[in-house]
Amino acid sequence: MTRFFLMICLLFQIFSVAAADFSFGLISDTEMAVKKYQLDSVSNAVVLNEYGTARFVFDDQRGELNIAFTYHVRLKIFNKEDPRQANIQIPLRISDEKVEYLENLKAVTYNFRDGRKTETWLDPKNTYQEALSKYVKLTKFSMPDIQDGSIIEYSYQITSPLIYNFRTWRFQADIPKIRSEFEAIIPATYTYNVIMRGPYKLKEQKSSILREGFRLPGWPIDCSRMIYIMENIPAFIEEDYMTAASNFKSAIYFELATVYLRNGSKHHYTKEWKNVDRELLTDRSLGGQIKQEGIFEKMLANIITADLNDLEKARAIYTYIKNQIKWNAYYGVFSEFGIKKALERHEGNIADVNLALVAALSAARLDANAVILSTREHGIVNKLNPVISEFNYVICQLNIGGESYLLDASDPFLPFGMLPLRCLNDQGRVLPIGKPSYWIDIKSSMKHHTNYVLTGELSNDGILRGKIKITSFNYAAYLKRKEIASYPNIDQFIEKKKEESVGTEIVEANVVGVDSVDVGVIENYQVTIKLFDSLPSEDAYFNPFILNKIGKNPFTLSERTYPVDFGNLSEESFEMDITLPSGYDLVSKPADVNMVLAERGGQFINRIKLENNHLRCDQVLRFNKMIFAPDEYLSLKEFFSRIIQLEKADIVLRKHI
Amino acid sequence: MLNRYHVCILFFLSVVEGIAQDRFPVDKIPQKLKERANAVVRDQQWTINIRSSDDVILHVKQVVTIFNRAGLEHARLVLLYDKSTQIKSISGILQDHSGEILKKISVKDFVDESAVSHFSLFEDNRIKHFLPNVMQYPFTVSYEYELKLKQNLVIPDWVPKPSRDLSVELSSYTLRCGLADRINIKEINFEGQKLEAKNDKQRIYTWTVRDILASKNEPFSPPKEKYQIRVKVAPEQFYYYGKKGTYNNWGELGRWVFTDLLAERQKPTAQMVGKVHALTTNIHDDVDKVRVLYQYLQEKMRYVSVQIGIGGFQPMAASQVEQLGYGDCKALVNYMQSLLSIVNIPSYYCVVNAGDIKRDMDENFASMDQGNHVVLAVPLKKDTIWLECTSQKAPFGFLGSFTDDRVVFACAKEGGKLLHTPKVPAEESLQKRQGRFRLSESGDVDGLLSTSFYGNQFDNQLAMLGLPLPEQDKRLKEMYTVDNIVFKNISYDEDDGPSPTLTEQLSIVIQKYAPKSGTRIYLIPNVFNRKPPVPITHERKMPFFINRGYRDIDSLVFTLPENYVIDLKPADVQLETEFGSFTMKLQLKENNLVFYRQLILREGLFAPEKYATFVQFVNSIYQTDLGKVVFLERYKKD
Repeated sequence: MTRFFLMICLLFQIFSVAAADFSFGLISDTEMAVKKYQLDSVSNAVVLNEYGTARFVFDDQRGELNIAFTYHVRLKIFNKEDPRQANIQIPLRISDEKVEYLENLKAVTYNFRDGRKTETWLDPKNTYQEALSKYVKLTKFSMPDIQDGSIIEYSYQITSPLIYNFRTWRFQADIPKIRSEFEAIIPATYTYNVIMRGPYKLKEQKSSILREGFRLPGWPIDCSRMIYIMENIPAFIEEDYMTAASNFKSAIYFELATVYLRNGSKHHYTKEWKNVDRELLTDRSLGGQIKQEGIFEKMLANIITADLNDLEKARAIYTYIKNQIKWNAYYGVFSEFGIKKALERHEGNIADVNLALVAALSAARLDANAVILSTREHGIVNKLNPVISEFNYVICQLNIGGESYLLDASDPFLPFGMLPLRCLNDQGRVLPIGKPSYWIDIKSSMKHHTNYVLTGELSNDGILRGKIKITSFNYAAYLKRKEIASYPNIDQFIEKKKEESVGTEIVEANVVGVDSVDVGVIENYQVTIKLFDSLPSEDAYFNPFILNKIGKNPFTLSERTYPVDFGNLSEESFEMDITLPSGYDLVSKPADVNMVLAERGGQFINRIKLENNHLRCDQVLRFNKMIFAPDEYLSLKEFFSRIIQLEKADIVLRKHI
Repeated sequence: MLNRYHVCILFFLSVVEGIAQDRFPVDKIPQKLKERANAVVRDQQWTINIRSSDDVILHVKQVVTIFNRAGLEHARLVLLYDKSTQIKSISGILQDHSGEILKKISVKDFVDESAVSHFSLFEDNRIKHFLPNVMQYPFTVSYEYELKLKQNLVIPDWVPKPSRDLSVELSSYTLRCGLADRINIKEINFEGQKLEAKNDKQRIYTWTVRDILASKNEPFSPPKEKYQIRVKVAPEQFYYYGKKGTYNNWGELGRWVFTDLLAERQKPTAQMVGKVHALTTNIHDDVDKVRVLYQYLQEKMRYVSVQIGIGGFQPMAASQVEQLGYGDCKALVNYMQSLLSIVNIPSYYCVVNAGDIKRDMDENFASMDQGNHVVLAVPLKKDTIWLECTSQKAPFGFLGSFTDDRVVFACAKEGGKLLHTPKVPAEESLQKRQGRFRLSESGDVDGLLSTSFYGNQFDNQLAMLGLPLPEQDKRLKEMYTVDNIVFKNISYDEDDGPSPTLTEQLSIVIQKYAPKSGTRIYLIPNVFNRKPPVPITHERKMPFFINRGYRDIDSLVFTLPENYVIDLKPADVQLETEFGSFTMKLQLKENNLVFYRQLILREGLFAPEKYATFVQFVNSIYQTDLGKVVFLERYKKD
């Protein structure tokens, strides 16, 4: 993954750079002539040109420092039915009573009819304000008079008091771009860490000094002016089994690092981990919560008893937190309510839930630490310098007797020591109190593991009578429990299985291990399967892939741009033992194979034999690694394909004459 | 009568007092109400008080016990509000299984959000919603809330049992209105008797249901309106966003919609008049005029939905649509109607309940809330032409499965009326597929496949037309889920004549489709069209419902490799039932294996006891579709 990262150093060269916004309304012949974009034939629109700036401004009236962000785009529509490009929404953020506001919006549609250019301007009456949530307000509009071949152009300015996150500039989008340029003007008193992501290279990068480019009352300050240009950027096309698109899209990120104050001192915002550690651990909403062990001191007597060993204590506390605080589906590394209030409300964001767990474990004198991470949808964090906004989740690390456990109390179906799939994303940062923080791998050795066993007897009437036992472990058990919980009770789950199992009649069934999340779930089915009308006197064909057929290849693309990420390891095994009436030979069968992917990343075994009237079949499909690079894709696809081919062949039995 | 009224009121008052304090322990719930239920409505009192046409109070008290996690959503309260709907109060109480109070709920606990549908650019609706945090099941949540509606054109229906996994212990609806008010009432699937009472100011109607059991979710169940209890009310004299009207039937309502909502919005601009004359000047036949103008609409306009205030019912003016180049269904139909009026061709603005499930306007009960979409009907001398005005692709005069075969509400100056949109018979919703393939010894299959889609099957495929090639390739791989399939050539050909047809031509290679195992080759001749099985439910209670009939014909020819003989071949199948018919034939003609399959499925509502036969029919098809032919290398019999 690291090859997608590229750090850009801030160079201060002293030469002048020409101002670069393209003129509004001045459409070149080349732009007019652009046909369905040559870089890709899929997209319904293309950005002809795009220009943005971000700079600091001081609002004299309010005495407030803001970032002014201007955006100007010109794009061409190839298919007016695709509403995405002509229906525009501009999000404005709201945070701690600070509100961004939108100004100078202008938008126009150009059409070219009979060799003449017509302009239809957006009437401000036709813009709509939607208060989406507490945090976001949208300005929405739809461009007038859109035809296939229309060019639309719009520009606006957002003034933002939220100066910690400088605007991220996204070069790559879901439509291709011919040109994209971003200009950042940053006073010399501010330094930002600049991080570039994605596979595409900048066409040009310029920087210069703008003398007295910014002015605080009575204090002119030089600015550094940076220009980033990228050209011919293909559309981003999402693939199946991939993690966050933001890991792969070309974009430039800014994070405030240092501010030099007027008195000559400097204030570090994002610095080295040692400073961040201290800040996080002293923050009221993070470290401050972990230290609230006191809340639990009294409660502990009701949760654990002295005769328990450390692991038993930890399990009891984990279960207690799961049952006391319900996760409200909000993410974040900072507590929303504080754990005291969260316990009262029985609800909290992810930090409330898991910081409460850390605090409760610590109160029981166990070695528990908070671990911050970024979920799979949120993307991978950079390892070069600490950027807190890249983290969006907290879990708990528990160390007992040399063993380390990662815990998340946000989901009642999770067993002790298992993380939900969303967390399994590269690395997280452990924040021990009083010690330096460090990275750990956030991965699970636990598999998505299912075992199928079919035993029975085939009689001369062509009917197989037997038992099916399906055992689900770890992630498979987790999903099975969730499935069962979607029914009012287990009986109705079984009823549904009976109804859906066409060709296999379920005579009786039971399910074991649903209530305790720490064991596997076992489904037992007593079945009759009609394989033949009667056992044929000639060759009898039957297909042993009864229970866990793959059937459909998960991969259909002929090539792949981004890695395949399954999220967890998996294993599926099938054992069959069928007693046949005597006198049969095995004349043909799906081949015995042992297929292995490179580095044993995947394995498929199939073995079938007939011994003493017992027809036995053993199959295992296993993935020992989660992430497959694009150059491993074709062999992964072929791996599935071979299994599917094998599944099509039958076992052929023949009676002795 | 008077007595009953008093009893009623007393009962009512006692509950007003009681609901907040009453305990609802779970062990008081009769066993039968727990069966198949994820939650039970213990007590709901739904009251509508029509104080005047611009002042309608909806007051609701409801107590619901949630048994398990699967029923949690029934604990959620969602209230929609807008400029004409004001939330006056909300409160609630959470109780544990024994009826102990866990928490009091107030308006502060509710989350407030905009409620813009996914298909809209903007709507002015907002919602307040709340879901309790309770860690232990079962629990009980009670809510009491009051909404003020500043209109009486659309009054919410009473639906005592909105969901199948919910049982109802007691639910009642009390409707109060002025003595002189005339209210049209429609009871749907309500088997009890409504009570009527009056005092010196108001008339009071009461509906009550008790002990409705939860039921199983059976596959192929008919749409909810066929069995769900519902009471609708529609005051004769109404007020809505500053407009007034009176109606008793579709005729009067249709006249009001046209005169008060449409007429003023249809005036064409000079530019429109000029354009329409220019387009039609040399055309004399009305059908051709409509065709040309429809084509113009499709080229010029696109669909964008904006719903504000009365905009939910009233289209944007034609002149504005002309200027913006977009509109929602109402605006585009209204615009098209305006274009047609320029050449004096009358047409009907038709409100329809659109969706894949065919839902009719109620012939005996007129109200504004029965539709969700608008189409245009153009009655000409010979035929009525139906136009879907929001699509840039729909062929002229073709509605498709979104709005076909149902009763719609036509609004007109001379009065509204109900019309029926055209139906495509099952046989004409045809997918006809022909393929010729070569099967190689290594199991590869390659050849040409040609499929023509007609009727509603045309409609299903229309989206493919005009997509970029990589996108077509991607979607084809989702439709033809055959491992290793490669489309070497893809082409589509549309015939948008009176019975529109789309023909898909594919050049296909499937490596190792029929893999060789030892001396045998395994081929499933039905490569592309396999029917999924249907669940086997015993003791079916509900009738079952097939929404839409169709006919599929697949005929594929495989040229076989030399030196292979057939060792096993599925027997031919012929099934004939009242739900449809099915044929599968496999023939060996010289060196060719000829596969033929025809399935006709008929739509309809069938008695529950017939479900077993239906299961047998479909699941035989499912089994047959997976039938394998096994070839054996000649001279190599093991």
